[in-house]
Amino acid sequence: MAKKILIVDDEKDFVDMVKIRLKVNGYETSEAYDGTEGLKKAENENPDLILLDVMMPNKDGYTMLRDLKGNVATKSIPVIVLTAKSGMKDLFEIEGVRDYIVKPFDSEDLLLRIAKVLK
Amino acid sequence: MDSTKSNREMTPKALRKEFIELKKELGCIYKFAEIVEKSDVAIEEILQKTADILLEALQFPDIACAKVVFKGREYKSGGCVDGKESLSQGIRVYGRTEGFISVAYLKRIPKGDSSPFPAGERDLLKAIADRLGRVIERHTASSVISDAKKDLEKENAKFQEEILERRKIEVATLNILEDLQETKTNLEKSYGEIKKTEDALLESEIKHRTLYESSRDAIMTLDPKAGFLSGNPATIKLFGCKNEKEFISKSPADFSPKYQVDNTVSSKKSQEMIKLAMEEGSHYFEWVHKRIDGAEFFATVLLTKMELKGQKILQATVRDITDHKRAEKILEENRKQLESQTRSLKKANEALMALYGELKSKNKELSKLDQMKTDFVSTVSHELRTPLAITKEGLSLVLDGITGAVNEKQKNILATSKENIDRLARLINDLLDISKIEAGRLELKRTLVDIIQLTKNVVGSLKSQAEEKKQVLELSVPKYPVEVQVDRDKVDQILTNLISNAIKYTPEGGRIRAEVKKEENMLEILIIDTGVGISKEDLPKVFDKFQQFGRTTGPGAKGTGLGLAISKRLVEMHGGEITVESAVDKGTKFKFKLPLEESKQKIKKGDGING
Repeated sequence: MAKKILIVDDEKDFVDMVKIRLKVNGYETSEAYDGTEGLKKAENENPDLILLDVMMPNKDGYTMLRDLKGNVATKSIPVIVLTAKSGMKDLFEIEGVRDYIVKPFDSEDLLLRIAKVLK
Repeated sequence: MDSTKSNREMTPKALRKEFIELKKELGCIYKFAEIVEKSDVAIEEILQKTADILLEALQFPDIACAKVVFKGREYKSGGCVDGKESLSQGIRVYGRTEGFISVAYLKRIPKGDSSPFPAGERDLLKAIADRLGRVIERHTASSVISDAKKDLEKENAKFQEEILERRKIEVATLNILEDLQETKTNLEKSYGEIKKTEDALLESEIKHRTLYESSRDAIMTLDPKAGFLSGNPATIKLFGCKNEKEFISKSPADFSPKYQVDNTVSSKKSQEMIKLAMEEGSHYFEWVHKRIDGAEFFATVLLTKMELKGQKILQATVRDITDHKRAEKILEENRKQLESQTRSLKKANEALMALYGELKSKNKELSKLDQMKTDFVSTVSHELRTPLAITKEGLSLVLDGITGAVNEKQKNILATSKENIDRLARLINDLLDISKIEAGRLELKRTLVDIIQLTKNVVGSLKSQAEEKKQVLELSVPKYPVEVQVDRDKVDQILTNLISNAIKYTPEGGRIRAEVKKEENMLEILIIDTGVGISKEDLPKVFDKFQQFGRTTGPGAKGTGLGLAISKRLVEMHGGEITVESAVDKGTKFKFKLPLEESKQKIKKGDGING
């Protein structure tokens, strides 16, 4: 069964591009455009992995991550932070994030890291 | 004894009588012997008893009397009457007759007997007297001895007393001697002290004399009426006299100009000064003096009242203060000058303070602006990265043929576009870095990092790039780990920048060598290439921002012109330094040093032993 990846990012264009790439590589996808929606989908859909942006309206990625980890239903879902904001690596390392990728990135690199987390 | 001869002719009756008489005589002698043998009997008792015994030995004791006279005393038997003695025998003691024994009959003896005293009785008397003499001698001797003994004892007691007395005297004498000794010691001490005092006095005298003679101050004595009495060599010199003689008897007015500075007459004023000193004990004042040759000088004068042989005189100490006055004047001028300088400095300082305040507020503004700039760059880079990411991903999707077949020509164009998006992203990263460093907002996150492993990792990650250009990428590092407190990401960034630069600017088939050397307290890292090199003119600008020199770029990522500027600043933030050596067409050598901390080395060594 195909693994399901939840993409949480406020840039719709970006989400669309990544969706295409992931689908071509055999992943099932789902998307949310802010932290609040992301949390809801994570709880309802129980994805295998979340690709999480940081700078978002309503609820930013950092807050969403904290809520995710505080919820029994979602706390074990692995997260890869995918952000245009550099210099926040340490912050997310503390939160136990599985990986941290700065935009722009190489698609091959992204796929490699996803595969590593899902292994 | 003649009785033996007569015995042959005697009748038995007479014989019997004879026998009784003898028996009596023997009894008497026996009794006498008994008395005298007793040692503790007094001589008087012996004499008395002798008289009694003797009486009993007589033929007719009832009518007889016996007595012993010795040293004028008589010892009589009972019933004795003076003057009737008939037979006596002297008692000789030491050859001298000291007394006698006598027997007498008080009545006429019965008839029939021819003689009242038979020969036996005479013999008996003689024997007793003799014996008594010996007894008395013996008694006398023993009493003499006893007396002598008593005397001796007395003498001895006296002697003992005397000894005791002498002992007492001796002790007393000894005490006196001790007292005397102490007194002597005290006297000696006193003498020593007196001697010391004398010596001190002498020394003091010498000192004072020397002081007086060699003092640079002019010291003189003055009799207010008779003029100067004495002056030390300094005085003579000060006033320009030939000798002390010329000085003596002159008055203070003789060594003063007519008027003092306050226009008072010197002779009059000097009298006032003398009067003041006499009244108050001493007086100190300034005075204008005049030498014999007429030259005037400023002086201070200290007049002190003293007594010499009952006469009240003054001691004067005069000090030439001409130089002092001159110096004072210069000092005063200097002081005024300094004051004016201080005033102008104060003004300048005030101006500076104002400027400083201005600068401070400007600086505050500037750092605010800097902060804004950094925040701005940070925001902008984020804002730029998002569209870049979208564009790059879009290009990648097309390039990878996901949206349909792409021909070679299209592929090349898309690849170049993608590369330049990466370049733009790097530029944004570098801009953000340099902006942070320059605003002082970049903080190093130091941890213990094994530089050897880190270098291996960086070289490993760039190996493929070198291989693409058929270059040899060598690594020369110690076999043991070298741990240093550094920011791992930043050192990684420096190494990546230097090595990828070397790859970029070295032609195909060239050689690149990364070397790590451990020095005493520094870690030296060398990146050496056989590339195109940098010209002498460009070398000093190598670490400036946005400097890319004529090094022709081959394939691979293009630079941002910020890499070396960032690397230099990062090395310096670590307390190290970076240098470059280069020759055109020969190659370039970058060398950077990082300080090794003592304690960290120790940790490293410990780890080495354990692991």
